[in-house]
Amino acid sequence: MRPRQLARIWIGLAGLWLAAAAGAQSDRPTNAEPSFRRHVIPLLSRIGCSARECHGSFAGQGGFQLSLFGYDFEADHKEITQDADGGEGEVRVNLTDPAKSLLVMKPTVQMKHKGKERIKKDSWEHQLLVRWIASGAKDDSVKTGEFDRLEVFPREIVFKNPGEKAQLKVLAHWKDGTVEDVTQLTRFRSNDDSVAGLSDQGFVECKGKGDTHVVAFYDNGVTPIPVMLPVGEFVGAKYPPVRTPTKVDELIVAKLRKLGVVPSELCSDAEFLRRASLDVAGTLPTPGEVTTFLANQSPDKRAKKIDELLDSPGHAAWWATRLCDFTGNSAREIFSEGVTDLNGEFARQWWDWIYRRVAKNEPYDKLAAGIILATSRSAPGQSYKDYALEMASYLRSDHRADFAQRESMPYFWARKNVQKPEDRALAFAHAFLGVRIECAQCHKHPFDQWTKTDYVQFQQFFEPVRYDSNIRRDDDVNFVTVTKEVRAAAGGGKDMQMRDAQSGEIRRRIDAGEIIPVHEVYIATRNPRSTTAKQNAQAYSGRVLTPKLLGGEKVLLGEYADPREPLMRWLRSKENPFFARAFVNRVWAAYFHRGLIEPADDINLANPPVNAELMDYLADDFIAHGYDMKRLHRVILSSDAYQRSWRPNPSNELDEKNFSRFILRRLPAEVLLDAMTLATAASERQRKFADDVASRQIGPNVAAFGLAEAFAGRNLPDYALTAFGKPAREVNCDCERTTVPTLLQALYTRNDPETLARIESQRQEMPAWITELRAANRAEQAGTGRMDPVIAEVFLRTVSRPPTSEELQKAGADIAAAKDPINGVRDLLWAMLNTREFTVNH
Amino acid sequence: MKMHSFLTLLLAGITALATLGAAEKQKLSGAGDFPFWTAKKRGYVGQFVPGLNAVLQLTDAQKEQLAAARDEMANDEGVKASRGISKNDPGVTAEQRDKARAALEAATARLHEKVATILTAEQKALIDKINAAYAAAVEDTGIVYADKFGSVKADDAARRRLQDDKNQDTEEQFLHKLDGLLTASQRESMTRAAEEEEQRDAKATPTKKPVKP
Repeated sequence: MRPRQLARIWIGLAGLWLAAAAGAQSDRPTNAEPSFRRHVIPLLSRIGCSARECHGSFAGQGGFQLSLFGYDFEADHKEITQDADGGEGEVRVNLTDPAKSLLVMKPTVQMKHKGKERIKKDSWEHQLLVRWIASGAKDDSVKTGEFDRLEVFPREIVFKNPGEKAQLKVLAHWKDGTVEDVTQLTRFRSNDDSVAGLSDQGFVECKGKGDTHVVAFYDNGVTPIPVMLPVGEFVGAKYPPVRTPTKVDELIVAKLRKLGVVPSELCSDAEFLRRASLDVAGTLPTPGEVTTFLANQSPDKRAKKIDELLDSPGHAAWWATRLCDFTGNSAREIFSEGVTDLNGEFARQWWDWIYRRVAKNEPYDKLAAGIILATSRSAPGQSYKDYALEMASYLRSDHRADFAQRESMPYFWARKNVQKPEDRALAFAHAFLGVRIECAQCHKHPFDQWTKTDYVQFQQFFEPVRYDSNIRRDDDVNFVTVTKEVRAAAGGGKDMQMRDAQSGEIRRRIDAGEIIPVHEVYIATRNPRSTTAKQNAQAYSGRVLTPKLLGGEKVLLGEYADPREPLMRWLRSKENPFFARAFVNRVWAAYFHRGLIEPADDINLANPPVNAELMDYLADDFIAHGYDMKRLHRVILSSDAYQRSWRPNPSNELDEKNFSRFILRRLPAEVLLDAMTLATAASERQRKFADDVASRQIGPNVAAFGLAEAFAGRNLPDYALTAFGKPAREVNCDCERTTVPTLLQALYTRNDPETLARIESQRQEMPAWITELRAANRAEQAGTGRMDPVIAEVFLRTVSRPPTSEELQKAGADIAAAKDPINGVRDLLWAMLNTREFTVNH
Repeated sequence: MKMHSFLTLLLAGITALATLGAAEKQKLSGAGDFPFWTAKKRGYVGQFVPGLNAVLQLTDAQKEQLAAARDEMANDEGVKASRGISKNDPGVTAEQRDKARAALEAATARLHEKVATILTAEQKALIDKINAAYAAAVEDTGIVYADKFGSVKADDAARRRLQDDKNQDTEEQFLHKLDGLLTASQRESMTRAAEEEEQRDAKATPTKKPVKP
């Protein structure tokens, strides 16, 4: 037996002993004086008093308001111990006759209680509340000290049969070293009731096959415990040998083995090529690529194809687009400086900047730093004049300078929807941490550790980050002086006319190489004499608190010129639990249609990874290899897990979350529309189109968003892309991108003019393959069997595989029946575009 | 008894002296809130930032003259009568209101004419420069914020928030411009006056009654 195994067993036994010892000490709260923070508030939370639908709601209930799930001890103590104002002539806490307190009478329904009976009269819960009041109803903050962590036993539950039960034991550790069994005071939740049912006392009951987590909540502690019931008979020694060529496979199969799930076989070469091409490069393989790949007998052809795809322009384009999704690159949200469509050019620059870095495989942390630490001015000493001229150089019509070469990309901070510090904090948490902290804006996060104070402290980092104009920095030439020049040159006129004239003047200046008025990202230093600043800080930030990293340390911002520096340093630290994981999880979700943590942008303690060991491995590997994005993609793509067939076997047909088979999913909006174009394009245009990413839907395509607010039908987002779920990038949620099928999508692929035009092209810039066939007069060659290569090409173009003999025969018969054989081919192409096989990745 | 009378007299004397001193002090500091300044569309206004009046470094004689001029206006029967006209009083006609407003405007103009004779040419020039600096600060900040206001058209709360941010920036822009106008001594006077005002305001702010535990 290895030393590590011995150590694990020892730790396990020690844990069980500790749990048993703690349990023996206090199976039920003893007669000792109860603690407000350790017992009373957790009890009120467990029995539902401080839940959202009761006294934990914003307005409270019946004039009694508690903090949601009891996160604010001080406020709750004040609320509980002050006189009731319900006109009942009673007090919530009656020190002279504790049993007559409302806090005791109501939940035991000795008095009318809208929330019904929460605890039984004379139960230990009842006695606990009475004893606390009798002992003076004190808040015991000093005595209690600070909560440290939660420990739950057993650490994992593997049931053998439905109906089995297991008791959870919860130990609370306090920073003063005390440990207490708080099982009876803990809130529990099952993440899947069909697998694990739960009682208030922490009894887990096996309800059905599968795996999930039960979560224990006590004070600020949230601990998930995996629970599973094997779904098949192949457990233990019965589990068949499954090859695990990579560490990823090893970890996935380890979990599948516990569940008794046998993974599907590897997919075919044709399936692999189509799947990988669409996933990695957002591009359908050409018929030539398919036939070459299928003919290749090399054992490492899949690995080589993965490398080829990762080096393709399509990969850089598609991942630039995905990174624009995560970071919120929406042309409609970027300030346009009053110039028509300038926001579109800024959005395009944003995409270009990321594209260049993905293509170069710049480390992810460096890419993120270029966005997070971005300043508009290229150098600290750059004057406004030089800055404005530089910006104009990126916008001029001729000999445009390359924005992507800039060190940093400031537009993340230049959006209308992130102008307030609280919005910047939310956007940052979503984009770079994969964490949703919106709840904590108003109350403690119901399923995570974040409190309102955590949120406000995190928000402080973003207070000084500004996007407008630092006019105090440059006295001679600044945004205001240049704006006045532009206004003077544009002349007067009414609002719209004046705006158009100014817009025209700025465009003229851009092309003439003159200074333009353009805002900038900078760090504002507040004048200590400002009286308004203090008032505003109090009004909008509440108490001014020392900034604190989420789940991390407090930071003295005075030590930094830019408050974003300590944030970036924290992201890069090995201890950061979010930064690397958030990206790894999003890449995984892109390939498996499901994150290791799902939803992919909702990392929280109550939503643990479906395979924690795999998550740790990938995140550690990503950090250890310098945030090498291409390596991360390669590690995932090279696994058998990614290359498995979508065809289920009896043991994994219900498994959709443990990666035992490939899950079918509709192609993303941009990829699908590009695939339709590629499938229908003339042969000589196909390869060129695939590599010309700037003109593709997976490319920048900023006009797709609609560049301005919709006005009289103008500037609306692209219809097809919107119908297929391209995100508007206006909210902090990966869920903005959808793959839900709708009737509109079906109508689009069946008879939208754009679809029909693609098939028999009316567009000069994109000649259609059908037109090519007509020009080549292939109809004359029609005859038995002579159309087979054409039919095969239709299949290769659309579903990236040769037709079966049956398909070939049926298609041949249909084409032969058509008056014009090319029309028959056209109809076959249309039919194939409307198959499920075409619209899904499989 | 004698002792008691003496103590009563002493206490009365101290109180009278203290009251006189306070009145004198009040008179001298009466210029602290005088509306020397003008703002676009608002006419004469109080100091733009705390302590601003102190940059004029008024002499005690000027302060007394200013206080006298204000008293004279305040005690004017016509002004008193005009101030007594309530705009919410349904019994007051529009004509009466207009008349009252005109009378108050005329009295204010007279007061400022008188103030102009009290101030030195340098003080008046400084007021003009500071007024211009404030107007420029308002205009500059308005230009910077134009786009931002355009982006929150339909959101009242966001608009109010933005207005508060803008006010803060206007103040800071004004303070920045002011630094270029004032001498070291004037800046010092302003800083000291601002601190005094802050202390006075803090004392004047009623403390909240503690919540009953």
